[in-house]
Amino acid sequence: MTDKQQFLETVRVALRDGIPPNLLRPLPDTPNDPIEYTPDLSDTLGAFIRSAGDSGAELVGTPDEALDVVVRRVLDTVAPKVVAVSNDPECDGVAETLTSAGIEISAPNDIAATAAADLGITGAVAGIALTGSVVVDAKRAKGRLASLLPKVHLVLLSTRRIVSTPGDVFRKMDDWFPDGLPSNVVLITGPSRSADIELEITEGVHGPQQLLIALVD
Amino acid sequence: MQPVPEVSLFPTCIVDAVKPEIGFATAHILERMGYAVAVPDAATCCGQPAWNAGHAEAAAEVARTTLEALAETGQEIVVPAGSCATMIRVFWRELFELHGDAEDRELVANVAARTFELSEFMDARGAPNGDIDDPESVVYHRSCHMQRELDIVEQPEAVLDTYIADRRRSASEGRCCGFGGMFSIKLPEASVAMADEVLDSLAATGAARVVSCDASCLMQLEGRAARRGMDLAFVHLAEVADRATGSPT
Amino acid sequence: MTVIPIEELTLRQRTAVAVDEPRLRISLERATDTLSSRQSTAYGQFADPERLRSAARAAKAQVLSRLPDVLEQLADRLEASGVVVHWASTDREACDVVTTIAMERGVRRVVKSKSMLTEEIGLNQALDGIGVEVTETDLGEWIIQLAGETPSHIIVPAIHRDRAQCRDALQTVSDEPLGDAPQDLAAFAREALRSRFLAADMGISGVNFAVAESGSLILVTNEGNGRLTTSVPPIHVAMLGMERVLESWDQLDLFLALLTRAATGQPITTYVSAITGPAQAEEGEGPEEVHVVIVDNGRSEILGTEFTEMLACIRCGACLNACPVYRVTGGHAYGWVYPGPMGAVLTPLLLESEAAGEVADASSLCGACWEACPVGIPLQDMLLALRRRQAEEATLAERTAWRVWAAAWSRPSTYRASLRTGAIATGMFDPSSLRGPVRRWSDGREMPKVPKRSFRQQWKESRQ
Repeated sequence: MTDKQQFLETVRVALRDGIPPNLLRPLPDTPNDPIEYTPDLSDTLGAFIRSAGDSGAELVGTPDEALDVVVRRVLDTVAPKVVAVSNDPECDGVAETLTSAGIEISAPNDIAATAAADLGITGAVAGIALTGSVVVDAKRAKGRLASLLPKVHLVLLSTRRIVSTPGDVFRKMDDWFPDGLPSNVVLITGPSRSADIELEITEGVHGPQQLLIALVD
Repeated sequence: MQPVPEVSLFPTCIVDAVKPEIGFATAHILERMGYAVAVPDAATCCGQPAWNAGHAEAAAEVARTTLEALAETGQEIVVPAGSCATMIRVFWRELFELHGDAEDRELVANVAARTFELSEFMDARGAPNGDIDDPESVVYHRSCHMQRELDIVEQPEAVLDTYIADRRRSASEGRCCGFGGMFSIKLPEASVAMADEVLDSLAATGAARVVSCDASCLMQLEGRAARRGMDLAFVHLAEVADRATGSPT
Repeated sequence: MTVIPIEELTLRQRTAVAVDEPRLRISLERATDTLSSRQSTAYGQFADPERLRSAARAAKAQVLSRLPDVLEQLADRLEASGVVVHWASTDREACDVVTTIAMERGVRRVVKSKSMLTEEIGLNQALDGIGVEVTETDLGEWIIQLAGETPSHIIVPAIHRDRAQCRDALQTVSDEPLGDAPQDLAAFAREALRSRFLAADMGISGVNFAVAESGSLILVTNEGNGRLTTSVPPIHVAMLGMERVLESWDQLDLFLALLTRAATGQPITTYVSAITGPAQAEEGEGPEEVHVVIVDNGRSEILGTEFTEMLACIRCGACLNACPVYRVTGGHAYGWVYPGPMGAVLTPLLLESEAAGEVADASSLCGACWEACPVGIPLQDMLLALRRRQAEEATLAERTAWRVWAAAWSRPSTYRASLRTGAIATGMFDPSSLRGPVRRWSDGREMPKVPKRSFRQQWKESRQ
C-alpha cells in the first residue's frame, strides 16, 4: 500500500520539469474575480422568490404572517402524521404549534423515526437570490435528515439572511462559519429531481418531493 | 497609371486534383476584384492529410515545399479552402516547431501573416459587384476549421448575401460533415452517419444548393447525397460568386 | 443494448454497430440536442462566459502546477476534521483499501452514489468478490447496473436506453408490472431504494471537488441519493481522483457555476453538499467514520506532459453533447468507462493497449468539444498529439506509405505526375496501411469524379 510520502513524491517527480508550455493555446492568466451575472438581483427578496419558484419550490408564507399561522396552513395541506423538526433557531416555537395540533414529533436523530416522518421542518443559515437556494447547516440544525428523508421539506428562511449569489456565500465562508465548518452544509434548490430517463425531468426521487419555503423575519 | 496588384492563388491539392473549377472560379473573382493572379508553381499541398493522421514528419516534408514556394511569392496568398488556410495560419507553427528549424518558423510567421481564406479576402477587400438575380435558394455549410480556428463565420455569409436572394439557415449549423481527412475512411460508418445528420438538416431547409468554402466538405456531402439520391446541388462559394459576377469559363 | 468490450471488437466495429441502431440514434439525438441547448441557455446567466472559461483554465493550471502542495494541504485539513486519508497508486490498491475497510468493519451492504472513478478502478467487482452487496442508487446507474451495462454518458449514464428499455431493466427487481412513464419509474426507485439506504453499512461516493483550504468534499447532485449515501450509513468512503482538487472556496464558486450549467443547464443542482469530516458531537446525525481514498491510477503519468490539461476536466459531459461523433455512436463505442472526446483522450492515456490507443481515432478533429468545454481544454489538440504518439508505433506499411506520399508531394514534378496518373483518389488517402480505402469510401458514398486534367495543368495551358 502506498503511503503519503511515496504518493506525493511520485507527483513531485512528474512535475520536476514543470509543465510544457502550450504553443498554440497559451495559458491565460485571467483572475478568478467574483462572477458577474446577467439577471437583475437588486431586489434580492424579489429575485429569490422568483428563482425559488422557477426551481420548483413553493412559497408558503411571508414575514408579515405569524409563524404559527403559516405552520398550521402547511399542516392542513400536507396532513402529516409525524413531523421531524430541526434545532435551527427559526424553528423555535414550531414544536408547540405541532403539539397543540395533535401532531407527533419524531425523536430527534432517530433515523427510522425521521424516515417515517411525512414532513421535515428546518431553518436555513442563508438564502441565495440568483438560484432560489436555501443553505442548511448540520450543526445549527443539529442534524441532516429532517431536510432529506421526509417527502415534504418546509424551510423557514429569514429574509435578512438572503444574499444575491452563491459567491456571496462561497467567497465568504469564514464569515458564515466563524467557528469552523460543520460536517455538512447543503445548498438545497427545489425538490429532488432526476432526468436520467430520456432527459425528462421527474421530481421527487430520493430526496423530498416538495420543498416549501416560508419567509420569516 | 497604377500597376495592377498581384495576388498568389494557392489552389490546394483537392481543388487541383478533384475540383479544378473551384480554382478557376477563384481566379475569376480575384481578377474581377482588380488583381492579377499568379499560381506559384512549386506550391503543392499544405500537409494536412498527414498532419491529421499523426504523421507529422511526412506532413512537414510536404508542407516545407509549399511554405518555401509561398514565401518566395512575397505576395498576399488567397486560399479557396478554410481547412488549408487554417493549416497555414494555425498549425504550421506547431508543425515546424516539431519538425523544423528557426528559419522555417520565421518563414511560417511571414507567410501566415499574408495568407487569406477566399471569403475572408473578398469581405475585407470588397467582393466584386454581381446581380442578385440568382433565384436558386442556398444553404451555407460552415466548415469546422474555418469557424473554430480562424473565426471566419460572418464573412462567407455576408459575401453570399450580396449574390443570393434566398439564403436559408440550417438547424445544425456548424456541425461537422464527418470528413476529417483519414477519419472518413478509418471510421466510414460513423463518417457516413455524420454526413447524414448534416444532409438531413440541410435538406430540411428546402434549399436547392449547399454552399461551402471547403472542397473536402463538399466532396463528403456530395458523395453521400448522391448515394442517397438526394435532390441537392453542391457548390463552392467561389463558384456562386463567379456565376453572379460574370460568366464562368 | 449489450456492452461492446474494448478488446474484442475494433473501434470501427463498435462504431459501425452503434450507428446502425435506430433506437440508440433517437436517444442520442434527443440527449445531445437537449443538453447542449440547455447549456447555452444557462450560460446566458453569465455576463461574460468566455472570461469565466478563461479564469477556470488558468485556475486549474495553477492547481495542477502546485498539485503536491495542494494535496498535502488537503490531506492535512481532512485529517484535522477527523477523516481517514488513504493513498492509492493503482486501481488495485484503491479497491484493496475499500475492501479492507469493508472486511474490518463487517460491512455486508453498500450503497453507492455515482462515481466514474469507481467504474474506472472496478470497485463494484472487487466488493462483489468479497460478498458485499453493492447497490447503485443514482437512478441511471441503478438502471444500467440491473441491465449489466456500463454507463454511456458521464452525466446521464442510461441515456442510450429509451423509457421502455429503462422500464425493462427496473422490471427485473419489481414484483408488480411497471409502466414506462419516467415519473412512475422514479417513484418506484424511490420506494425500492429507500430501504437499501436505511439498511446499508457503508456509503461510497465520488467527489466532484475537494477544497483543500478546509478539507471539504463537494458533491453536486439532483436526486438526493448522494446526500443519503453520505449521511445515513455509519461509514462514508469517498473516492477522489487526485486531480479533482481545488485550492479554495473562491475557486469552488467558479467551478460549481460552470459545472452545473455545462452539464445539465442548471444554474445549480438540487443539492450541493459540502462534507467536512464525520458527524460532530453536537450534530447528532451523519457518519461516524469518513474515509477519503486519493487515487492516482495513471494520473501522475499524465501530469507534467503535453496532456496535463486533461487533468483539468471537471466531468461535465459538455464535450459529449457537442461531439458529432458521439452523437451518432453513443458512449459504448468508445469501449471503456469514459466516452466522447474526453474519453477519447483519457482512454489512451490511462490504458496501455493498442485497442485503447485506437480510441484517439474516434474524432474528425472538428473542435466542437473545445468550444463546449467550460475549462477550455483543447481536446482536439490532444487527440492529434495522441495520434502522433501512435504514428511512431504504426505498422511499417503505414509509415512507408506516408513516406512515399511525402517524397512524391514534396517535389512539384512528382506531385504533378501523381495528379496526372489519376492516383489522387487513393493518393490522398493512406493507401497501404488500410485495406480497401476506396471501398471504405464508396460503401456509403459516391466516388468524386476525378477530372482528366488537374487545375494546374489547365491553368498552365490557359496561360499559354
